[in-house]
Amino acid sequence: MFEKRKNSDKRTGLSLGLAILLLLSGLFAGMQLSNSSSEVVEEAVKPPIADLQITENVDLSGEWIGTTTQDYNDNERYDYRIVIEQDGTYISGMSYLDMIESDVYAEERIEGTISNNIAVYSEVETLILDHTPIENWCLTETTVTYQVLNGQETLVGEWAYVGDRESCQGISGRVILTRQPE
Amino acid sequence: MRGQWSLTQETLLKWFLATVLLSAGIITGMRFAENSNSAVEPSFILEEAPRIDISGEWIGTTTEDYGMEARYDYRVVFEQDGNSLTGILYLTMSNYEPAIYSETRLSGRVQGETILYWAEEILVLENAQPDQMCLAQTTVTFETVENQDILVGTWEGQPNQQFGCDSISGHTMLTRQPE
Repeated sequence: MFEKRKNSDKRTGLSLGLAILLLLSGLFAGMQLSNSSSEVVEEAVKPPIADLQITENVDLSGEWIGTTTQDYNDNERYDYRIVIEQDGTYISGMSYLDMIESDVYAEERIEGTISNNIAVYSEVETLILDHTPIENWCLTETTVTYQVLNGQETLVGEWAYVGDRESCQGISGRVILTRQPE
Repeated sequence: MRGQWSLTQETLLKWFLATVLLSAGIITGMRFAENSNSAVEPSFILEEAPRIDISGEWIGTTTEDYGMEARYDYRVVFEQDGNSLTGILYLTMSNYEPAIYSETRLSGRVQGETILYWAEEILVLENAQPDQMCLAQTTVTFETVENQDILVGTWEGQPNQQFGCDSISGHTMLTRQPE
């Protein structure tokens, strides 16, 4: 048997208005919570800026492979490989240049420095030079920026001749390198 | 009957009902927000107009990160039409003799600043047999560094080829050649 509720009876549950208010409050809070958590996920997915702007502690030691270009005359390009040893901010090592469209090949000793994420190194001595006379060969200075792009360590930049030899004036090109895993 | 309800029981019931309503609201609100967020993304991204045009010649290096760890002088010529890519890729092995050389027709698509392209057909092959070659699919992202347009990423063997092709991979870096 159910007994009809009188107006004078005390309510045991919630009023309809309060129930709707609670439900709407929950809806609103839930939507806010979901949006803020998805913002947190998006923040986590974004690459941290620190990955892109390195760092006094970057160590370039190791083997780097890529391409370098001559952006003048016949616009030649080279398979390019450098091996770097780094001691503090001082770098030294070897560069290996293999021209794509001909048999020109060179091995050179390099020296330079790194400051933050920018490395500057010079070819200081040609140790091997095949299929072109040394008179045609210019020792250059290269400036590259270290960055992690799409998860890969890269060096990107340019080279130019900075000495006094008349025949070498005005030459320049580009450099792209990626670190070879050990 | 009502007379048997104590004040504490009534209060407890009210709190229970309030908690249930509030929780139901929160769960429903979160689901609604998640659905409305996820419903937009895929179709929007697929329909997005290209932000970049990579048409032209790109040069660089690609590696085989397995076996003999061969590396290649790598040149790609892209033609972009909207989000679609076609073109030719040219590979010359650079650290072993005799150098394998190939020319391959490619197709692909641009999605935001990510580019996916895959080899369709080997047109030229020197110093290797066709059954030694795997068709690859490459994913690179477009970056501008020191005024150079760069594509950097990785490749992997396409599935459903000869044995072993689906387990090989390498990395790729290209710079745009000035016109």
